[in-house]
Amino acid sequence: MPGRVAVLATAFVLSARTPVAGQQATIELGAARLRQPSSPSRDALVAAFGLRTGRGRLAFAADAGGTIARDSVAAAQLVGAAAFVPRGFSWWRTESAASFARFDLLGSGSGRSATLGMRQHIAPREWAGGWVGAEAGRTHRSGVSTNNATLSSAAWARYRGVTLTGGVNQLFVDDIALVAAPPAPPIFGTARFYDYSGGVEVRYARWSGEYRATRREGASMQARGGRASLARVAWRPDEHVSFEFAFGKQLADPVRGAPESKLAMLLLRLHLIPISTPAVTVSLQRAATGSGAILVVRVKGDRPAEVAGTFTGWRPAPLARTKNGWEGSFIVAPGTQRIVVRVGGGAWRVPENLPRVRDEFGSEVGLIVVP
Amino acid sequence: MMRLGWLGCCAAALLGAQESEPSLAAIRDAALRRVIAAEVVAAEERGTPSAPLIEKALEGQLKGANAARIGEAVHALALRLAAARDHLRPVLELDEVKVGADALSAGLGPADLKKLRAAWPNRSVAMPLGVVTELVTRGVTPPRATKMVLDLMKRGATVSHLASLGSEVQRDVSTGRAPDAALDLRVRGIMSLLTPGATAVLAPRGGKP
Repeated sequence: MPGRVAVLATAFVLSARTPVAGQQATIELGAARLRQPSSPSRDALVAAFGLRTGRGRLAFAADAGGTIARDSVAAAQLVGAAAFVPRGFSWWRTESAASFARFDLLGSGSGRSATLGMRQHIAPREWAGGWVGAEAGRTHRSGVSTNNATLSSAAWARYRGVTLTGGVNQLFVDDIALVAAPPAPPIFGTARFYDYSGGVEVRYARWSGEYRATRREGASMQARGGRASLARVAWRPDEHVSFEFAFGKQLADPVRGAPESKLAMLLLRLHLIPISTPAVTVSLQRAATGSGAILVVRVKGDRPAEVAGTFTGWRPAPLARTKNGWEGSFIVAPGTQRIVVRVGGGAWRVPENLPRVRDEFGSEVGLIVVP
Repeated sequence: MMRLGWLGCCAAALLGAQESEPSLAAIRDAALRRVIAAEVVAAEERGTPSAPLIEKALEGQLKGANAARIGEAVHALALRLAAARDHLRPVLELDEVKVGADALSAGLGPADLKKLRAAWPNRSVAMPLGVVTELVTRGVTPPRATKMVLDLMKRGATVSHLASLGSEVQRDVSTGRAPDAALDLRVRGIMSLLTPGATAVLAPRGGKP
């Protein structure tokens, strides 16, 4: 039974991501080949739908996913997550997540798992940060319920497109069958483990790659350790589509009830709302003569952009095409100016580098002071 | 400077982009246009600027708000403009009232407006008010933002000193510094540019040293 659950849970682990600011809607379709110790390889189809939305200091994420294998394994999972950045503390982010999974194994019974976690992320510098967190999970399988938990801590540092991460997890595992080599040794009570992990992520142009290695050591008698590493390569030919290939070995994840497995997975990801919304920036240049200034709006990306604000009489003004995107210049009078930008006929939004204020119409406007 | 001027001329020539005066005729809904026209007349009678009211209506129209909501928003702005005028007396120019209404909307209190006016009774406080408003929207608490800008005003900071404050704070905030701490840092930086003599020369009459 645990063997079949792995097909589901492995895909879950890969599809559950940390929520980020911005708006995203993605569909994932893919195929995976998984192999567990003492089991034959199993092929599975993976499908998932994810939503991310973030505004100001709060971001939410929700995922629903399913996995179907040829031997009639089916499952569904829901993941909800929220991230909060308090006003005035952009270096502080509190994240929490909850997930629920149900697996119906035709002809072999069913099971379910639920997890709840929280993580406190601190990034005092743009290039470095770290977090501490805790996650607890309850798995019900084959008529037996187990409680499992993990305490995690990690630090990261970034230089240009390279991010290094290192961390330590402490696991408290009741689900002995999941972490012990068969035949399962008679461990009573809770087994404890330490996971030491390190990883590197590289981003270059439309490519990104990641390698992560983990070493597990048993901290109590008869707790079995192990090593695993997982690599991932992603290519995004344009802002609507990306391909991802992941392969390697994962250690058992007792919090989600996932056994150890080797996997290779190819995913097609469709970004219904592009993952990288075009960067919109506004700057001021000194006017050649007289008072006021020249307000320059720049939008990256291929889709046409418009700007509106107090300086256009709130009429949409199209930006002109440039080599790198879209650009417009406007002579503005001294004082405060309000501004919004629209890309590709989408919603009006505030340029990223401007402070934002609520308006009376349920949205926000950017504010810029012209000397 | 030459490069900036050349860029500015080219941009203006190419795009023909000039700041537009808001016009009542641009309001498509006839009934709403009448409502806004009445607000404009009332504003002119009160001596408060009317252009922001038309701008607000056009903003709502652009964002697809219904006429009732636009009417409410315009009326609320008219009340804020009147309040700003009262707190900024004696008003030197209508821009002060417009920015004052923005400041009230951002969370500044009447006392903050009065303090700024008292610091510069004979000079327009439109720019200092705008800077305080911008700082508050970037996450600096209203009392702190007001105090820091007041200190600079009293020490003879120029309008461009004040205007650069907001963008410098934003740069610091984006690198992870708390907004209040970033403001302290930037104010100290600007203070170092102000010569002690400038305080006496530039401080407005009646201003505290």
